[in-house]
Amino acid sequence: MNLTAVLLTGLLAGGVSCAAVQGGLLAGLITRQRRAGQPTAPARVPAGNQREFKAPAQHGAHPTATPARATLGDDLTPVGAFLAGKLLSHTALGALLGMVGTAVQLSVRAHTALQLLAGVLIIAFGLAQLGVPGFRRFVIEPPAAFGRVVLRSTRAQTAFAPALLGLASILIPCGVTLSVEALALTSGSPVAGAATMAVFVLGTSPLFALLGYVARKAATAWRGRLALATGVLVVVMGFYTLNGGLELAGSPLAASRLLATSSTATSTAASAEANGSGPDAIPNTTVANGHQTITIAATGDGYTPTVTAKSGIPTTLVIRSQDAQGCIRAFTIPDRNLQQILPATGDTRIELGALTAGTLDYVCGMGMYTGHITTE
Amino acid sequence: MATTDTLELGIQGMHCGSCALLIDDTLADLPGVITSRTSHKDARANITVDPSQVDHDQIHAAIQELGYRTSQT
Repeated sequence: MNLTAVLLTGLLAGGVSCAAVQGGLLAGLITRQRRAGQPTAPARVPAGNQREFKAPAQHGAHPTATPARATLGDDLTPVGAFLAGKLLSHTALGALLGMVGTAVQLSVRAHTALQLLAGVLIIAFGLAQLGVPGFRRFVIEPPAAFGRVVLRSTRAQTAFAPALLGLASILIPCGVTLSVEALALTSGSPVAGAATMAVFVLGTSPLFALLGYVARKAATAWRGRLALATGVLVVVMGFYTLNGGLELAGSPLAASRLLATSSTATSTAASAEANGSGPDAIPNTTVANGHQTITIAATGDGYTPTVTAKSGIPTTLVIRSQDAQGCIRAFTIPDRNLQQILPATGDTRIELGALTAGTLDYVCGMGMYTGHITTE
Repeated sequence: MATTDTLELGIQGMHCGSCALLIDDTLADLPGVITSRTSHKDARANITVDPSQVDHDQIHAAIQELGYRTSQT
């Protein structure tokens, strides 16, 4: 899982997504609490129906615009509490999604289907964010009851109200947040799911505080650009996720296949160079006593991209892990419907039987890292 | 018994359910607004008001000040 992309998405989305708008809800809550706590507040105003917000288009007439700056120090506590509540609920949901995803992904086929579905969904959310015709109405609206829970929490008078609102914000995700939730679903573990959501929420925090809370609306001058950048990033993440599914499915449309097709000559040369000539003699193909052993490496950067082998000989594949991490440890051969969890460091042996001429692809559990055995 | 008036407004610029909630939350603070139900999906708000306390321009202005565009339907 590429958490940097998630962080970047969060940083941009904090100014334009639901994160920014939730700043408005928090500002409303704090304004109401302060009014209720001021003994000098006009007593004639009916409770819960105070006014300060006279509509005539008077610049800066918004109740939070002026006091926000004067009381920035006081505002840090509720903003921090809101973000803590939000971080808690989103991280917990991320862990849950990671757990559900892991349970669903027990077979390579189910994993592939989930990955493809998540990719398509994320792309659709990204295109909706960009306002692409045909996708503008692609909206997953949370149930009305969820909205009522959130609105009730904006009217609470307790000291915990900002934190509760932060917790409740999980109920009203926008397309960008749903995209990251889909990523968490395909992350491969509860820890990775929790990390995905936590990094996203932390990423949204700076712009949330600046634009969402202080200004109570996404600053219009930046809104268009931020929305555009966020949408582009979401679409890129969607294609990345979709490609992971295509790699797992062994599709000819997968990026590694398309690249291989477009540079056959180069890859052949690279293959010859890589086969047995690396510093640790990985990859390496040896034949002894009528048995072929193919050794490839699994490191923190991925797998040995390509290795050649001979057909018709019983073959053992040895995957030599050297600080392998994350989805790289979920070594998958889609054509064999085989997935093997590798140790971080150490050898894993897989009996492949006699190979037939052609290509056998291997990918990580998320389809991000690939390689193949070319059998002659 | 006070008379009530119902407005149905088109709202442009909402990008998620939180926008709809923010509009409802803001309108609820306006005196004279009795109920407000905004839908992101429909890009629309149904608002019931007491016309003796609030006029339509104030409703439009309150929503526009949040950064959204309004239109009478």
